[in-house]
Amino acid sequence: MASSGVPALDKVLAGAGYPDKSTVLVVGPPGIGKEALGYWFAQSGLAQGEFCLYVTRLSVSEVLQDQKGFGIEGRSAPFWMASEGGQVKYDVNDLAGLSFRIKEVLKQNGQSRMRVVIDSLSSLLMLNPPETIYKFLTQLFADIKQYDVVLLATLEEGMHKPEVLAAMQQLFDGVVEMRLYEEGLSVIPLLRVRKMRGLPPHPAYYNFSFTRTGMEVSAYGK
Amino acid sequence: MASDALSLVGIALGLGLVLAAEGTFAYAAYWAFNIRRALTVRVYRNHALAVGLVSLGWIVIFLDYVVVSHISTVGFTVLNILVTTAFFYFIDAAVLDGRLSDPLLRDTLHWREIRRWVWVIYGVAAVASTVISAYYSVTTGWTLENPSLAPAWVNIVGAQLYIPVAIVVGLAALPITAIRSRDPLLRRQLEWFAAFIVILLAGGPIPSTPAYAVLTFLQQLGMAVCLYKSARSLAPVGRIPKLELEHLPG
Repeated sequence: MASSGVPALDKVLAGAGYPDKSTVLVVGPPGIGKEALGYWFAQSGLAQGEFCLYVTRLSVSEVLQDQKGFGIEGRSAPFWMASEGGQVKYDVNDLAGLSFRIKEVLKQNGQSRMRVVIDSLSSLLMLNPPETIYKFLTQLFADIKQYDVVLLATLEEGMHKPEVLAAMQQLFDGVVEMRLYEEGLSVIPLLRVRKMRGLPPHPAYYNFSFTRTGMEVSAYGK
Repeated sequence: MASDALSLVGIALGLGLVLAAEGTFAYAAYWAFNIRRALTVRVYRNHALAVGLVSLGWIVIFLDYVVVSHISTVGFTVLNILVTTAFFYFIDAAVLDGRLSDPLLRDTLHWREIRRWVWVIYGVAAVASTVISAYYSVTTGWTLENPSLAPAWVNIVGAQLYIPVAIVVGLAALPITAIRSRDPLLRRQLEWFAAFIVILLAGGPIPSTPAYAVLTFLQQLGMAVCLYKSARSLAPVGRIPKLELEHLPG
């Protein structure tokens, strides 16, 4: 198992985190904090000496600045595939190149346990037909499962058609939803593990909040 | 007797419209702040904050029109500056937010590079407007009701230099942001905000006759509804299905 980097979320995920060799999708509206799950997941891996690849359409400086907002001061840096400032340039228009580069990086580090974060899939889905992205991901997942890799990707809710969102969720071993819900006159953020390989269906909702030291998760309704 | 009854109906109608408009503005502000509290990332929180501030500002401006019928000229200038600053803050936040929903991550008008300078220009214009307004108000007794006491340029732009800055920036940046963004919710949010501005610009500001006052209050109600819709479009907010509530842990 690969720790999510958030002890409270690990507890929700049967106490240990994401399953080995799994692909996990984090879905939620812009601004809710999906990328923070990616930051903690990466940092947790780096702290255990694992190789970590972080794929982002932002520049490295922007991601680092955003990380600071969540109180994350990464002592070790991941291998960056970013639009600016990374070891490898990320070009959102070059899907074949992206797939090739990810596989190359994993091949070079295939001896160790690895983590991959892709933030986010939405830009790829906006620039390409959904069918192209399904094929891209299906092939990528088949390739990376030759290695000891756990992949976490984020996807924006509200930017894609519901059927596209549903099809994307089918491709992944696990889906974590972070959404805003109306409760009386208040708006509350809730988290739900829609599915996770190796875990029974888990329909429960959880409150979550971000603090300077991490993320707090507690059962909704308690 | 009939005219007394008619004026009573008019007063009741006017009062009802004012309360409905103010209540809707307050509800828009409430939702904007509520959504802001639930979000985590600064760019999006700032966007929600801006909508909340515009709503709050408009409550005060509308109250000034209806109840006070203008505080002092300098006071009105300062109040106007505060509300326009909330608009300007909205433009700034929306452009930064919109960039993140553009798959190509384009920086509209190089906004991230120039925004600090544009804020400086806006600030200088706001301070100059306050000084000009205070100077002519003290030396000539100039007020909004007696505009002839100051030179024409003071009435045209001199006391409101900051407004053209906000208008030019908004007109240049927001349409491009909306076009480039692939987020339907952000587009809807900007569309409702644009509707709010269009209704604002469509009507006259000061109620002088009862009929005109009712039209103005209707206009304010329309603006309030648009702002409320704009606030509700800041983020997708769902409801937990009742069936699923039965599966709560514990």
